[in-house]
Amino acid sequence: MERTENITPVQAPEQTPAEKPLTMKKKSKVPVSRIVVFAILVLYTFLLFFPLYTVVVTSFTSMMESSFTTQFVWLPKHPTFDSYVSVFTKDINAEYLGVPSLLVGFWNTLWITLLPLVVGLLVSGLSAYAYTKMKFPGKEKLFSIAFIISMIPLGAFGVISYTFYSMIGWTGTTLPLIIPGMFGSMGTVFFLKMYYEGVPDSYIEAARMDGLGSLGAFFVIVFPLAGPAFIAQFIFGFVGGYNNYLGPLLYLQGDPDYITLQLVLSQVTTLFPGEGQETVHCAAAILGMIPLIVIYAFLQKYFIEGIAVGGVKD
Amino acid sequence: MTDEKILSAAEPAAEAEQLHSQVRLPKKKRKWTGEAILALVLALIPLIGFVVFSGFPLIISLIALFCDVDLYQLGNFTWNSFEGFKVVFSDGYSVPTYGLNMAPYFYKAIGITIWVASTQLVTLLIALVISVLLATAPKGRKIFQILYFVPYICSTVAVSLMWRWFFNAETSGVLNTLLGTQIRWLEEPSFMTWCIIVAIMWQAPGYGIVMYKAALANVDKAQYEAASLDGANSWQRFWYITLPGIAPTTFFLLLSGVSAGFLTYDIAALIIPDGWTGYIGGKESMGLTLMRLVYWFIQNEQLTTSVVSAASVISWVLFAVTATLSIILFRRREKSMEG
Repeated sequence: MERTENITPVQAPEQTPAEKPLTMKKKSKVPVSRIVVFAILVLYTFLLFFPLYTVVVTSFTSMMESSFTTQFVWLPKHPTFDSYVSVFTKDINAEYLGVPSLLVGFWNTLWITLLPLVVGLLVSGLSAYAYTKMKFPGKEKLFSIAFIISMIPLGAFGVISYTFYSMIGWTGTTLPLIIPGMFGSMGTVFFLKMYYEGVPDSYIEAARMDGLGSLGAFFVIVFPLAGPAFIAQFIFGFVGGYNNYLGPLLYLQGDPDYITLQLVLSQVTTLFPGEGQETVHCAAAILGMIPLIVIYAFLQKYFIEGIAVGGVKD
Repeated sequence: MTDEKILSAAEPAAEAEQLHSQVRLPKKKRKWTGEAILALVLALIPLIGFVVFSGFPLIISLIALFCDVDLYQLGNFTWNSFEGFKVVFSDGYSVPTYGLNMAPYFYKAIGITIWVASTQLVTLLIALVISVLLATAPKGRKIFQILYFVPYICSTVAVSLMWRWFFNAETSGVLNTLLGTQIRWLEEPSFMTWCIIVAIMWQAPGYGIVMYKAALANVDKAQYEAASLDGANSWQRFWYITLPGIAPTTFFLLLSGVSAGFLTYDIAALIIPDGWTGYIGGKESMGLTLMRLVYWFIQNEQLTTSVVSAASVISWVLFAVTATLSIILFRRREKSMEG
């Protein structure tokens, strides 16, 4: 493949003599390589969204049309919302719960995610503040110990930790999903600490001269200035909590009262049993994805930042 | 607060600093002021959480390597003479009171896990190619960037529902319609692992694309100009400037990706469930990852406590792999910081 133009994202401002003929050519017509690049990107977009399309289109197909066919229905003849209605009305657990499982799941997911996230962020934020802007003996030593400990990758113990929670009697409750997060995380502390270091000490001193305590200075000066960092961490945590499957699966043990959204989605075949219910399953999957996608549409800049930085710290 | 105030407050503070340092000396004896204690407490909370909720489980799983543990009582351990190791490693050794020979599952799971983890290379390659193409500033670049990240925020459960629908066994299944076939993709051992891998490859590159975007923007632009002057073509520029420039990111993505690949649970368990016929990890265990085996041992706690030992053994094997990868990554990062 011939790539005539610069690889650099930004065109160099100064035109060197060697490059001149190139730019002139660009003006006259679009180079072939540009078209090829564009075509590849469009193709990749298609590959990503084609599977999503099949789920969306099935969710709008009537059960009749999707059952009595030997071919996949690419475009339903009579698009219908029936499957979406069924998600809320045909749920076999709805009677027991009083509300459709999907709504119970959504509500449970919200509070199980937000409670530890908000408390944990505040705790991490204050902890990072103590490490950065407050004084106590042994601070540097404690920080380096914390740094080394938190570098240990603990993902491998995600499932075996169940034994610990079982021994302290927390399995079958929401506690293992909520309490640990409330203590904040060292990863978040490191990230916020980097951010705080950009806040001049003089700002805090000035605030304290105005009669604020050290905590007051945190809430009035540091917290607002580090807002973007908190938002990024919040979004990273929210996406992780919203999509968490293994945690609720391990610890909630099928208690329908505490079922989370992802558990509902993983159980669609038992919640909506029978032949030809796939349209309902697809509708449920779409409904489960929509909240995050809608938030993403509005806050994509923060999403991408949050997940990029959140990933690095792990 | 206005900027003026901050400026005026900053300068005298700096001058006063010198005076203070002399006056403050006797005060230093009283280190633990109320504020220092508050700071220490604030600094300690995340560490305490870490010790309790990560440290204790780790210690218990360490003990469980060699002891039967009582899942309903803390601190009740009895030596089990390497029962867990025998269950995992020794082919032909059956789990006491249950009589199931687990070692073949373990060896099978190692193969599948390495297979799944190794496809992270392909994921990385996809992310790299797409990112380099995006860096040429094509039309609609911003929109592409936004769209490419969508799979990454979709939940694994929804994604697995999507792919199970895509690979539906009926002739009306999406893939079967496209190919005009009637293959039971999710129940055919030769296809099952690929179904998991396709789903991972669909979802995972979004992260790499985001990370590469920043890395590519940071490559020194002057080098490209110099290379162009020297007559380097675009391929040479990519090979000798771009690729070395983004090497740290590539290294990070590769190791963290492989690490995550070794810990695959969700997508494998959701796309290829255990099934009703007593399979672990689907037919011929073609969807069985090591993490799934750990989960299987744990959820079958009614067996014997020695399966907890076995689950611990596998967890520590996985930890050894992921810890090695992070040490390599950490060393490399320190080296590049020195150099």
